[in-house]
Amino acid sequence: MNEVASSLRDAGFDAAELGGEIQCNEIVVFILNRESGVCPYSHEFVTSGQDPQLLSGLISAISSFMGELIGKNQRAWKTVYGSNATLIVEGGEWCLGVLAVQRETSEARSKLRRIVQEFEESFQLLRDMDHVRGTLFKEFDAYVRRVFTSDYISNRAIVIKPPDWREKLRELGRPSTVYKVTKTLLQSEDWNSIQEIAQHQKISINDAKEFVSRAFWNHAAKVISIPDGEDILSLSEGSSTLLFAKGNPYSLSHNLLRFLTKLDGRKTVTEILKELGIRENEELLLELGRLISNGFIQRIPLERRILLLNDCILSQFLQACANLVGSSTAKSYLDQAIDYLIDELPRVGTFSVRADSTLVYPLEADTTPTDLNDIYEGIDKVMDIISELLAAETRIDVEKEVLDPIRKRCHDKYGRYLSDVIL
Amino acid sequence: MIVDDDQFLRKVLNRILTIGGHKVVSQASNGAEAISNYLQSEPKPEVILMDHRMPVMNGSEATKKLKEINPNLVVIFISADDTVKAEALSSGAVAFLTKPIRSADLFSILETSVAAA
Repeated sequence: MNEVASSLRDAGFDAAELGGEIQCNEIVVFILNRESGVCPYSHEFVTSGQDPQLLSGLISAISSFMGELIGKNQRAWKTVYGSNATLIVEGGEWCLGVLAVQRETSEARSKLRRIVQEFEESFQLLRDMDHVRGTLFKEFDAYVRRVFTSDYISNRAIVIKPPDWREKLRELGRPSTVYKVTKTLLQSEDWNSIQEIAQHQKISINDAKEFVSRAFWNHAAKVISIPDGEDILSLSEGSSTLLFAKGNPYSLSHNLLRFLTKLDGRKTVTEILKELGIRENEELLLELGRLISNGFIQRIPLERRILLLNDCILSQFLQACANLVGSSTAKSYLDQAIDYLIDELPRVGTFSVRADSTLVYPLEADTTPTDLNDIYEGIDKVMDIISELLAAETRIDVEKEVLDPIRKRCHDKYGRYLSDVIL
Repeated sequence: MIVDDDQFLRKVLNRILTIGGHKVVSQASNGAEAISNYLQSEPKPEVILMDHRMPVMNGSEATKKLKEINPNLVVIFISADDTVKAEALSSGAVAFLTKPIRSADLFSILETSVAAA
């Protein structure tokens, strides 16, 4: 990345100026008590000047209004705020988690859901309290930091120091932590990657990530999240309209445009580049990183990764059924399963088969992690029913002779995408 | 066995572990249920992934009782609150993973813990 930094400097760009342009898709996150409207926890990703207590009051009011109007609490919803922010809301049992973002991504919603669940589990005693004092949420804040930064701050992530980074580090906490993080930033050059920082300073990658993560969380560092080759990316809701607008208003490079049009939420970065015959290069990765940091592109959430595997298994199972009993019979098995399950799991009604007997179902840009979970369950149950029908028709041990080899093939294909997920 | 009152996390862990080649024989949503399920399970789980903060009975209490039943049982704690690490380890857990965890770290700990046991 230092070659890129050099060429940018040669072109007259100043790292400090560029650091000012590095956006963060997330703006502020807060958790409020649904019943009292009190906001015990908040964190600003960028210094936005927004008052979390005011925002929490707004959300609490909207939530109450919706509850009165429709007679029940909504689990997941969103509202547009101003001209450049969306408030994503995830409801727990007694809390609402709210994340203000530039662009809504399912990745952001997935993370928000996790922290709401963890907050409710950790702070049940706050349910009936109307005020909180002290440093009760220090550990929880560390957890939220890890949820939001673990995959964002990858080995390749680029680190840039804003002009006031030293002042920001004073708020970091313990002196030993301040020392370590300060030393790491002091010895790093702007546009260094995490990997370079670790190598140059002879510290472990995990330490480098941890120190940068703490700095990032306290606004002492800006980070461009560069995707790994194994990352699976997709466009966030509404991004295609902007990025693919006629005339290329964002002046995206030729290779980047070719890459973006191939994003399907299934292929990895490396696979797409190979398909297009594009060599993995730093400029392209940096462009991708900027789009990720601004929320145009997202890493597919955990629920989608898990779904890929189940999708693979059912698709291959349907193909195997077609080979054994004919494609029209295989399709009728799917139709029977859908008919049986649709009252319980309406999502299965969207399942259909392509000409090659593989499974297809729509995945909208606003498909939530909960929806993905429902699709996963639907696939499981459809497989059970088709398995019974096939066994009755063919008298073979479907589990052993058909499904086990298929599971192994799909595990071999997709298992590695789940070997390094954040739970 | 997966012991956690978070149903979604139990589902996700179940899937990740199955994909990773492990067999999940039982799940429980609190410590008391974990003990009951352990006694009824056949085959018995070799490893228990234990949350700490749960209703009815917490993870540390459940671990103590499970270790009385089977001292060779491997219990690995998974919790967002690392202030309970000392308590978890003193109750008999062999390892403590702080949430959010990486699946790679989970598999690594499983491998080393089972090998050591």
